[in-house]
Amino acid sequence: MENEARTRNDRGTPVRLVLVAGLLAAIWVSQTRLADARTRHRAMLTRVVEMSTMGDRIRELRSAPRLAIDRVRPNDELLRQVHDAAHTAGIPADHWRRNDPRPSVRLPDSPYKKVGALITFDRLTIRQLVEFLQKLVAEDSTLSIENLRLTRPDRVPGDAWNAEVTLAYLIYSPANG
Amino acid sequence: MAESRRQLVLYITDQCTWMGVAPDHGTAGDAELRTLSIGRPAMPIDALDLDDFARSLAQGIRETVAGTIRCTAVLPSSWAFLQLVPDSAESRSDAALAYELEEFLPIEVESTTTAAVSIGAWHLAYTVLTHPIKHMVDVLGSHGIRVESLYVDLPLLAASPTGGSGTILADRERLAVMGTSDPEKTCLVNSAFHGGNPAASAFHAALAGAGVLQGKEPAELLVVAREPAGPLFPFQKAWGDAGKVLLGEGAVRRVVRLATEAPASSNLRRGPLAFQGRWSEAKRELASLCTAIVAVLIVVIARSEWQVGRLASAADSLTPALAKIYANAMPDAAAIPAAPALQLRSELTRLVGLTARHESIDGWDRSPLSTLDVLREVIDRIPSDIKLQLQGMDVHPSGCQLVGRTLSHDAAGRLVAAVNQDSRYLAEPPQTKLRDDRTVEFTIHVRHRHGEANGKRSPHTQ
Repeated sequence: MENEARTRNDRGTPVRLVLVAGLLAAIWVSQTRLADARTRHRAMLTRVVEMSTMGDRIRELRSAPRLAIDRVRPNDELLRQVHDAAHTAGIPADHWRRNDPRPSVRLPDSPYKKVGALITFDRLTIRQLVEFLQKLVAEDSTLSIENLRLTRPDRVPGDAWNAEVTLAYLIYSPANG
Repeated sequence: MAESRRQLVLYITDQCTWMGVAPDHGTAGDAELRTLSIGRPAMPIDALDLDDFARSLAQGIRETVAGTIRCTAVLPSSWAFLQLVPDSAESRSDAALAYELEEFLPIEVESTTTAAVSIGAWHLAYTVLTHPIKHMVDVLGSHGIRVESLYVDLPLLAASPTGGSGTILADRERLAVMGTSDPEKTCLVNSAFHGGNPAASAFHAALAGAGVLQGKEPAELLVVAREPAGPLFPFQKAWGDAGKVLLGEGAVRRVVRLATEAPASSNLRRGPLAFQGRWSEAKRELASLCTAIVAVLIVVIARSEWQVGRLASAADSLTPALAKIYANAMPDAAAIPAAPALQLRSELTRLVGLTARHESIDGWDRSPLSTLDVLREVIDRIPSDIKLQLQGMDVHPSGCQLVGRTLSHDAAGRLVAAVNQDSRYLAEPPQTKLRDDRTVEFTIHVRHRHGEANGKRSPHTQ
């Protein structure tokens, strides 16, 4: 019995040392897990704040006027807008002479491409022209009147002008996207 | 109090306990002796509270000596079972010796510790109960008194050079007798209680009862009675004529000296009673330290795991919040993607791109005024009292060019002046040409000043 007790005692210290070593390893694992958990928790908190801020900003921007579009506008769509605006301004259909789409051009050092179209009218009054342009840009904030060239038609009396309207709009198209 | 570096010898007798500081090796001095005031140890060992006895012993020593003490203890032979066994050509192991003694022992041999000394053709084996002796030694050890060697008095004397000639160890109650009638054949060891009867007849009766000597008297009588100065036992006087009588402290000094010179084979610190030295103490301290460290580590691990669980739970509880934020920001999304933050960032970048002002982009002129504004404002500036006919206008957000006819150069100049009254516009001097019909053809460039403010000039005005 004494021998057993002594044997137990003799084995006790190495067992304790092994236990301490094992526990130290367990602490290392535990501390690593704790650091990971802290990092994950902090990252989640940061993400919540970040996503919340982005969400607010996204909702705000969704209601803001667009200054560019994110796709190429089909020519039919532009023609329909021009037609509607001209009709509202009282411009007879036969005074709309031409529509020349222009190819898109990448604006240097920017994520935008500029797309334009030249619309040509004959024998407009200034009033008709202004109403037409006001209607056009009021309906679509992305459309911009880049240039307006007015000339007097030959041998036409009164307030009549030939007009070349250069319309343009931007397409948001990041080069890497 | 003085700290002792020398070996301390505790000599426990039936009468009292002596403490002796053994002389240094190689010196001829006597041991320093004193008796410990711990009362008289009860005999036999079964009747003794060894725990209390050992504490009293430690206290007694601590009153005199400080620090860690190396100690040799000599136990009374009444605490041991003594047995003579024939010498053997083969050396016996401790276990073999113990089992050889088993038939003579009234207790289980597994609970004992045995040592032996060689006397002539015999071995004097002595056996003590392991547990009580170990307990006593441990109690002393817990007080910093390290019992490194452990002997029993009579075998100690028997192992001495004079042991062979016969020794009687006596105190006021007991005779412990060891002697040899024939050194070549036999050795007789026994003890008897004379009950404190000082009569010589009682002494001789005790000797006869012990069955020793058989007419041959031992050479030496050690009387370790505490009061050597008291009246002599009758046998002391009777013995004095026949052999050497060593009284009181003299006898104790003899035992103390023998204890410091005893052969290792007679040391009971073996087997279960083995002295494990400083390493043993260090191991005990280390074990205690380990236990404490284990407890602390377990607490630390438990706390860490609790925190891990708490943080994981808190992090998991945020997942629905993320999903809700995403769903609010992207109401058309069918499902929450794996990386909702990336999706939101991508959407935000897209919306910023679609709604941002682009005044600083080369090739895109979005001035504060639109082309329509410029057209309206420039026409409004034309004075009604000037007769002119506009032939053409080239209008853009940064300005315009007017081409027309008027009646004089001065009228064209007045037109420029009228436009310049609006500080937002800058009309350059007119380019005029007199026509054949006496009218003046003019060309006027008008620039919106915002282009000057940011240092840019529209390509239309250049």
